Amino acid sequence: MAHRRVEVTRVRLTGAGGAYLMIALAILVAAMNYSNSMAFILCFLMLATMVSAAAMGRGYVSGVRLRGVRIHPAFAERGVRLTLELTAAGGGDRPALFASAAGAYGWGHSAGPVSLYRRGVMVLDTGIPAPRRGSFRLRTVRWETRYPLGVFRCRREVRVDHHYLVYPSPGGHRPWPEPETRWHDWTEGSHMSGGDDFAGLRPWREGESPRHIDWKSVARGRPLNVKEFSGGGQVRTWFDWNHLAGVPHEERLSQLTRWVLDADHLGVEYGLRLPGRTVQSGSGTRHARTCLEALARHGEVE
Amino acid sequence: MSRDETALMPLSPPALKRLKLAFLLAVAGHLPHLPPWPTALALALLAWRHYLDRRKKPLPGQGPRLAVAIAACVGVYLQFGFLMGRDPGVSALVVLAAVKLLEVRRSRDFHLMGYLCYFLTAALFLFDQGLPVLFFSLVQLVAINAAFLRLYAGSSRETRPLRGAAGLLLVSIPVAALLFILFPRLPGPLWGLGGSGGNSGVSGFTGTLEPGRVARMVESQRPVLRMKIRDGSMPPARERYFRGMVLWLTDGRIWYPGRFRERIAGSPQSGVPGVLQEITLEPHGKRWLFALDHPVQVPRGSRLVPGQVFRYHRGIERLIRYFVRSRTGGVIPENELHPDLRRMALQLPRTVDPRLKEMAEQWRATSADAGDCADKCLDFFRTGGFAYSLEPGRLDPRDPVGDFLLNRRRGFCGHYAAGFALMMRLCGVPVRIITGYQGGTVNPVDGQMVVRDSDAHAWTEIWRTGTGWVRVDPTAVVMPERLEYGGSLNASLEAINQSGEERSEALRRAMAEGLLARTWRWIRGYWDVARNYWQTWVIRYDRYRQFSLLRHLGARGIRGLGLLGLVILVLLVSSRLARYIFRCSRRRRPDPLERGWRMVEKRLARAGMVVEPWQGPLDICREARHRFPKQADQIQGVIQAYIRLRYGSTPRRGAAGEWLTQARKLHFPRRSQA
Repeated sequence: MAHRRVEVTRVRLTGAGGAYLMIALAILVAAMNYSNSMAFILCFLMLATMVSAAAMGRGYVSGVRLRGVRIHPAFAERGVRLTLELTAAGGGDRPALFASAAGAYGWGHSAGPVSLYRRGVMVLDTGIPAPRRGSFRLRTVRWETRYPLGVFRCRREVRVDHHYLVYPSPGGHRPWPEPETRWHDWTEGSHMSGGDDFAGLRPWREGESPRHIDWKSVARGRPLNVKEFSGGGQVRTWFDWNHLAGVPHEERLSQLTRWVLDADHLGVEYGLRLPGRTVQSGSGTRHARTCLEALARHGEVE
Repeated sequence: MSRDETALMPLSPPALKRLKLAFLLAVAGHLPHLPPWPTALALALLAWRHYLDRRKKPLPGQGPRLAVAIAACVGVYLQFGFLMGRDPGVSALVVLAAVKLLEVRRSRDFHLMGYLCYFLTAALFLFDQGLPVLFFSLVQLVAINAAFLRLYAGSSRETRPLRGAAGLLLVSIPVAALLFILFPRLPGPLWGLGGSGGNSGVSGFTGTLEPGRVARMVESQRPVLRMKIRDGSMPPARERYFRGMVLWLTDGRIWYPGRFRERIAGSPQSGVPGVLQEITLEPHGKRWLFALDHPVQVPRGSRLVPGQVFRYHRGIERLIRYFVRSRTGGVIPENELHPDLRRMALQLPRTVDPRLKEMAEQWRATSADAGDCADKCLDFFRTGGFAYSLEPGRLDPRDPVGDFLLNRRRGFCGHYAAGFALMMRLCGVPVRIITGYQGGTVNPVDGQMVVRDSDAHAWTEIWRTGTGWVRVDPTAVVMPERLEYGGSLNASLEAINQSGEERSEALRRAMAEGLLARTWRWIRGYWDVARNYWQTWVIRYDRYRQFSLLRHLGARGIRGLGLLGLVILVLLVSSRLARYIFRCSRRRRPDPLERGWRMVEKRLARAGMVVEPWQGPLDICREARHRFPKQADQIQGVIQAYIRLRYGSTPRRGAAGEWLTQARKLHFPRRSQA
């Protein structure tokens, strides 16, 4: 990898191009056999057109620049969504481009076609596989076209170096840990738990009374949620690595991720304790991201 | 690796439309020479497909397609009796390609269909290799490639596939020309030539003479041969007889050459002065060659046969060029007539009208020699109410010559030659019919003599003891102007049908050219020259021509593998060069937005703010505002406007220019001051 060029254009004959070549050669053989000059001309025109088509396609992909890459937050096993911003250098037309990128786990799907025209900038979404959580680097972005004749696939590969995080895949259905401050007794049969104000929804845990389940939303196809009513008072939950003793390593992280997501969804205050890393209690998107990042990077050698 | 298939293009209706157009052209090219039904069927299937697409109806299933395909093959078999060979092969290809069109759903089918169109274009050259066909095939190539361009340009409507395809072709033509010149040619075919149908050359000249059958002369203006005088002087029009075949035998209806034993070979006379001609002969599929009457030295590869005509060693399937020396004058001096030839020259059909016999008997009784007899017969033509006509109508099939001589008395050269020959034989004068061409016109552009189909002529030679064979052209008696104007007078039908002085006057008027006719003659002259060069340098371009061209270019001795190496070199170099051609399009002047944005980036860089390639305008805006707080509002304004123009909905005209002036006012303090 070290000695590879930063940007490289490759031209490869496609299957259709092979067929094109065979047709041209068949015409050549017929031309030789029948001494048919016009067939010679047709064959040579086809071959020469092929040469120009390769150059045309090569020129097209070489004239495209990668303007920017946006890497969207992602969870393991779901793939990372990327937004690539391509521009046509010099403002020419670049029809029908397909683009893809490679991260730590190989190439993602090829997205397209998009065409760049005079206004010159095109945004397209693609993805890369992300089977495992962790912190990775986006290595290569490439785009290709079969324009003009489909006989060649012209591909430009650009080396990039973008860092991206893959959060653990959320999973597990273990009950939340006990909140640190006063927390309502969910298991009791009291009708209006904790107070009068409806505060939001929270996933149902095994063992809870089915009466609090928001059946209306279940009927709409949502997962089992519990209506939560706030009776005042700060609630703070600590999601602690050590709570999950006996659970395998990655599964623990999955469970913690699930909890963090749920807590963020509910808007409650929470903190995260991992071996060697503690995220102080808080709430909000930024806090959630910090927690998820800590989960993704867990065990990483700095 | 990503799967290749994901990059395949979905089939779009505009691309399909272009494909259909390409197929339409490919089939249209075959309209002139295929039987009408395969092309008609193909066009009908094309129309069907188009209808289904327009109505968004499902395509026919495999059953109907298979049925049509099988029916077509059976039809081709019934039409031709076999499936191999040029005509049935191309007919089947046309129909099967149309059936394939019915199932084009994916880009794979699209490719196959496009390639079939290339094949159909190539098949065109089996029938015709003229310049017009070249232009037509170039149009076809552009149409096919435009279809591919349309497909691979995706869904956008902004591409101009025709322009793109024409550009591709234009860039390819010089490379193709070089390949054409350099590609090594084989001395012979790779395998036996398939029967090309035998009629690859069409000529008004058939080799036999059937006075009764032909109701009307063909008036084709197609050039048959070209002649350049290399030594000697051009004979006058009335002496320009191009000798092709000698017909000895007749059954009363048809005159034909007959067979000879090998020992009665013709006698080439060497060392005699004469006219040396360089003749370029269009292919006609048979073996005869033409030369001014009469050839005395024949070119290599041919031999003289009795009657002082010569034949090529094989059928002439391609344009050939040869040198031949002839003596003009109309007399072939020979001392002795071989008994076999005499017998043939006196052969009579089994039944002859007794009135003719009686007439001949009378002439013979009052004549001193063969010449007298001929004069009597010519007098008979002159005074017997005979007239020259291109449309004599059909004659009595049982005895056409008798019908002509006794009743109809209207006809063209074939009738007069046959009538005269029959009468001479009845008189006991050995006579033979010569067919070929008479006349020809000089192309004013390159000075070459062009002989056309319409110049086809038939005349006779009688044997005069002590002299040899003497030419007698009975047509000249009824139509003296024929010799002056050649076949071109056949175009002036009205003038021909008059008689005597009036006719001469009318013909002179008709032949005197107006401005329009003169212009036309020049255009035709130039066209002929272009055609001639095309034939010589392209169609007939073979290894000998290749060697001599390379020798002229100073590359003596490069052949075979060396040439193949050159071909590969051309391909490699051209692929390098083509890159530069297509890179030029990248150097196009960027639009104002792009220019302005680059300017802003450059100024930022000069002010010490490095813009990374992945930073978008928003990132840059944020950082620039942070760095240059004094200009924060200005920066914000310029960059926001840029984003709006670049990514927003289509801006109004001129907005980009206004933005550029605004952006130009944006200056950042130098690094030292910042």
